[in-house]
Amino acid sequence: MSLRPSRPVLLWGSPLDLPIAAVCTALSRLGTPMFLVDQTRAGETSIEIDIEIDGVLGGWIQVGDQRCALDLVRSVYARPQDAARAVDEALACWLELTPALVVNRLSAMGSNSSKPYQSALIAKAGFAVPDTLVTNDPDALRAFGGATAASSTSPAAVFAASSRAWRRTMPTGWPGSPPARPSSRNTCRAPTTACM
Amino acid sequence: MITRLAAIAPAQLPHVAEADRDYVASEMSAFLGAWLSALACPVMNRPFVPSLSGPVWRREQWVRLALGLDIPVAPVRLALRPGSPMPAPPPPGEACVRLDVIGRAVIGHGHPRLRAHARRLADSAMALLGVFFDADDGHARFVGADRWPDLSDRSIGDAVMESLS
Repeated sequence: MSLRPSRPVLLWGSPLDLPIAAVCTALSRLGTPMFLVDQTRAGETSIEIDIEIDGVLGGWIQVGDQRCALDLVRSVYARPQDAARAVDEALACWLELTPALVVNRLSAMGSNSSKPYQSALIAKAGFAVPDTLVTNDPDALRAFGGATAASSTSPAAVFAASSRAWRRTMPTGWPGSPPARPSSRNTCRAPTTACM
Repeated sequence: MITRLAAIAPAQLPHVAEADRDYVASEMSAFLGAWLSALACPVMNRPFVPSLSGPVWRREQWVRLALGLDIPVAPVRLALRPGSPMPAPPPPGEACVRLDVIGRAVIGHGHPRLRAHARRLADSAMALLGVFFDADDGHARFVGADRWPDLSDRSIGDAVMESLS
C-alpha cells in the first residue's frame, strides 16, 4: 500500500473549463488531495497572505466554508479565466511568491500578451520561427507574400487567414484580408495607430 | 529610451472608434512591448512584458525580493474578505527615507548601507527605481518601492540624461 501525499494540489480556475475539469478528474482518480479555487464562486472567496520578517510565507484561502492553508500547498495548476478581481490579484501575487511548484505563474505567461515578443523569445531559445511581419501597412503585407497564419499582435485573436474570419475580427477601417497562400510566414497586425 | 507608461490604456485613444479602443490598446501595448524589448540602446526601464516599463509588482513581491537579497524588511500582511477591494499600500511614513536609483547613481540622503540595499534592489529589478526605508540609519527596514521616480527633480533628471547618453 502506497503512502498518499497529504499536501493538496491547488487548482485555480473554473470547473467548467475542460483542462481544469480534466485535472480534477485525474487527481480524484489518483486519490491526491486538491483544493479548487473556483472562480465561479468568487463572491465566496477570501484570502490572507502573510510574509514574516524571517521570510516565512503563510496565509490561507477560503472558498465558502472550505479553507486551505497556503503553506501546505505542494503544487498549483493555474488557469484563471481572468485575474481582475481583488482576490484573484492577491492569489496571483501569492503564486509569484510561493516555493510550491506552480504551473504556470502568471509572470511566466506574460509573454503570451505579445506575439512578436514571444516569437523573439522562442528564437532566442534556439527554435526555428517563421518569418514574421508586424505591420499596419496593407502594401507591406502584400509585399510580404502569402501568410499561412495571421494574428493580432496581442492575444485578442489568432486564426488562420481565411478571409471571412479575418474580416469578422477586424477593427473599423482595416482594408481587407491577406491572401491565403501556403507559406511559412506569420504576420502580426499592428493597429493603424501604432507608431511604426 | 525612457518609458513612463506601463501600458496603453483605452482611455488614451480617444481618436480610435470606441468599439475598437480596447482591442487597439491591447495591440499597441503588445507591439510596443516587443519593440522596446528588442532595442539595443539603453532603455529605462526595460519592459517586463506585458508591462512596458519594468515589472508591475505588489509590495509583497518587493518585500520577498528584498528578503532574498538579505535586506531587512518590515513584515507585510495582505488580507481580503469576499468582495473587498485590493487594499492600496500604505503611504510611506514621515520618518521614511527615499533613495532613487538612476542607472549607476543613487540619489538621496541615507546611510551607506541603505544606499547599497537600494543599489542591489535596482540591480535585481530595474534601472530606474525609488526605494523606501523606514528610517535613515543603517538598520532601517525596506518598506516599499516606486518605479516612477520624479524626473522633474533636477538631480534625478541629470542622472537620467547621463545614463541615457
